[in-house]
Amino acid sequence: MTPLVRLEGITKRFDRVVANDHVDFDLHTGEVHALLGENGAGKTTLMGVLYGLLPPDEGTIFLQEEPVSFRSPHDAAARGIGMVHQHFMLIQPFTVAENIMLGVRSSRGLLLDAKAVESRLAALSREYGLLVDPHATVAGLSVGAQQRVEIIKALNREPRILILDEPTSVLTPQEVTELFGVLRALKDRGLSVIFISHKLDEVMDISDRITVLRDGQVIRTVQTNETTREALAQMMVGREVSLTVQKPSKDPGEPLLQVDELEVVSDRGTPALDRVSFSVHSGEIFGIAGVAGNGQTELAEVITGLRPTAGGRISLAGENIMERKGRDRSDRGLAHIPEDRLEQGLAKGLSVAENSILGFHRSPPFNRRGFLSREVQPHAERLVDEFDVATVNTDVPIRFLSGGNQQKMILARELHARPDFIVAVQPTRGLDIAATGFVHRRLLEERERGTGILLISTDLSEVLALSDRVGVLYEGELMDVVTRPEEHLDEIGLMMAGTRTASSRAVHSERSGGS
Amino acid sequence: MVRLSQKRWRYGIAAAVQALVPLWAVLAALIVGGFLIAATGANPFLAYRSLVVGAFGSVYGLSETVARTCPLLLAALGTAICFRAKVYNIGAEGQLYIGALMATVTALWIGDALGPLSILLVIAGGFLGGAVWGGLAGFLKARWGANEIITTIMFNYIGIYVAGLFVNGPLRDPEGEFPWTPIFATSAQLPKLLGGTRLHAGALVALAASIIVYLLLRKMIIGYEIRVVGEGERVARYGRIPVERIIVGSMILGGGFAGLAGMNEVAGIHRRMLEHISPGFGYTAIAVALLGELHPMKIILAAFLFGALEIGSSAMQYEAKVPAAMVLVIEGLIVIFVVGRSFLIRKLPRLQPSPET
Repeated sequence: MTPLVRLEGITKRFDRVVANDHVDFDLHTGEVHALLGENGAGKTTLMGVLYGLLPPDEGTIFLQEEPVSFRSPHDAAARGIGMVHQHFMLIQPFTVAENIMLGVRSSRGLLLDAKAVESRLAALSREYGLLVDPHATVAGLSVGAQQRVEIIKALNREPRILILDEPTSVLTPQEVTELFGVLRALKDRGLSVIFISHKLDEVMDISDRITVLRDGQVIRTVQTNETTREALAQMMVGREVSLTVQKPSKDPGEPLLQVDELEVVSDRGTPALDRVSFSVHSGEIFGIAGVAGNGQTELAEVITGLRPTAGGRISLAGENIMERKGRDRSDRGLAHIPEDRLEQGLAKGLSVAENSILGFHRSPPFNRRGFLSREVQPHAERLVDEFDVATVNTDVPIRFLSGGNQQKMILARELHARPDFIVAVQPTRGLDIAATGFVHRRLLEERERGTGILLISTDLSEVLALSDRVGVLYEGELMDVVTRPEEHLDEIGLMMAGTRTASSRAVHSERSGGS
Repeated sequence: MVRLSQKRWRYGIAAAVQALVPLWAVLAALIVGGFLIAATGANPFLAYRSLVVGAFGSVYGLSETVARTCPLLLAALGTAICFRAKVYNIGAEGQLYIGALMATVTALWIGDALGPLSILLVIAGGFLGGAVWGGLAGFLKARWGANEIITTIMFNYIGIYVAGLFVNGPLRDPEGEFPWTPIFATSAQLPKLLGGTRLHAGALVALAASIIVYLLLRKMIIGYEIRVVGEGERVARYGRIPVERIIVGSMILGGGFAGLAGMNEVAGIHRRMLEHISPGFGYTAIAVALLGELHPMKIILAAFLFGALEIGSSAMQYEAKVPAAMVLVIEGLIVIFVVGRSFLIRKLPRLQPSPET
């Protein structure tokens, strides 16, 4: 049987990052083929290539064994490919019917043919059980209903192939069940579905075949009924730890940071952290692993005082630090290496010297009766020397430096005050190998010095290489804390995908029973 | 070492090219303006020549240019402080009027009572008036997130008409034929610097203000915090900066300097308050601040250029028969080219300095 779609040797690079590395993928008529992988594995990029959003650097797309090249999503749609994006592309103040009409040629020339669209919408709704009111304003619909509108929008163009990018990430469990019903109905009518996800349970539930992507490469394609969740988790996370770091063994000291039953609300008003408790000792690196968007950002912000708590307690060296607003916590020796270098960690238009005092600028010796003192310049030069920052001088705007040198400057600034505790979020994202190694060495030196470090990273190999203990965050819950993480890779992988292991179930029930 | 110095050299050139961009904008505006002048049937070379002669060709012309520069410079300095914090204060005009009003109230109240000290109080009154007017919009933004572009524009109308109300009512000179206040006492005026001209001590105030704003933005902690806030709220909060206080603070300071522009007009030029004290200085100041890249020293040059264009325009009209309003067209073109500058830089990535060694 010839496949409906075949991707052969697809390679896509962004600057020096290879997002897809010679990926092969095929899709048969009437099947649900899941694309499984962690965030950043290259799933969305691959589908972007298929949908005509991104031109591939190498490789060919075959539609029923005929080579095709799509220059835009319009080309792909014309050949029967539809896509429902992770972030909905709906116009909020418009009604459902108006959104469906968008981008579809009207049979009445310049006039809208609302009647035809509405009857078509009603037919699609009935056929697949996609219930929506055509006259409802999109802004007033639930997320699940908005997704149904997106699906109807795609189906309205009568596709043969439907791509769904992380469709369940925004849905409640009930809505997921409904969605799966719709997908099965589509399949029964001969449609082919590509289902992108990082959730093992869902993939096992809905798909016929599964292709696992990791670091832009296909690890394997398997029949769903011939595999297990454990096997998939192992494929997703991988065995080898690419970074080798010399980490001297060390006995942790006193508990420094203690987090109890912490609850936090996200920007969207939904719970971001659900009764998270852990402690970090001096001289210990405590890693937080997890797929991005499971509460890591909120955890870092709440500990560093940039976000209010909704409940729970944070103490540092025995003192409750929740009363201290914002970065006043750094007076308690709390340093923060933020997630977003250029939007948060640095004032990008200001000079290297001016950035070297950010957050410390109000205190002596930099503040002399309301004026910046003469100490700023030599201070910046010392940091540049000590951390080997490559720059012409300390007067250039810091945005002109490379990512690695910017990160070194942040480290230099945060570490010069000899903090007792460091919250480091994605400290090596986007850095080359040399700069990554430098950052890792400095963090390990701090650990040697007895500093407590909370390392939050979505790069699992980084967390594993540096951490003494690892906690896994999934949907705002701390699934479990693992000591000697390098020996529990499979477990960590499973927990990152939302599956509790035997030991973590035990821990969890004990915790909720005790509270 | 050779490669290092080469890099430094290339960085220097790239930085210099970028620094010259405002000059290109002016040049481009003058060239396009030249074609427009030619299109009206006049000789652009004669027009520009008469403009230059009108603005700089005589002691009187030059003194008028400097006198015109002062309010533009002061209001542009105020605008620049706010824009540095990315607080888009479009309200220099209203702040100028309230500054003028407060300076007038101070001057009429104090008279000659304090001798030479009187003028200092008048200056303080002008600053205070503008500061209150600006600070109000800043407070609305910091407290309730009211968009400052809209509030400052609305406060312009309120300010202009409140000032008019006072000039027509309680402050009106009962013997005057026009709605204006009595003449200020001599010691409450900015003294003349040159007999037979309108050049007055406001020029020194404006010059001092430029230096103060430079020190404030570059050397003081509050200026540092204003600039960090301008880089983004997230980095400012990370840097332990009270963002709301800086927003209000920048509006108070910015309004204050715009208020000095109003003080300059009543205490220096007219020696009394009139109903229409400003031909839109507060709006032109936005263009001046942008042309000066929000840098106090460059703003001096930009204000001087705009002052010269506006003073030279009547000579241009008289000699070359080009409508004086052509100068407004050129000012508009300068703004377009200055704003388009970021486009130019994006399109020419090789001009981006690469300072790493």
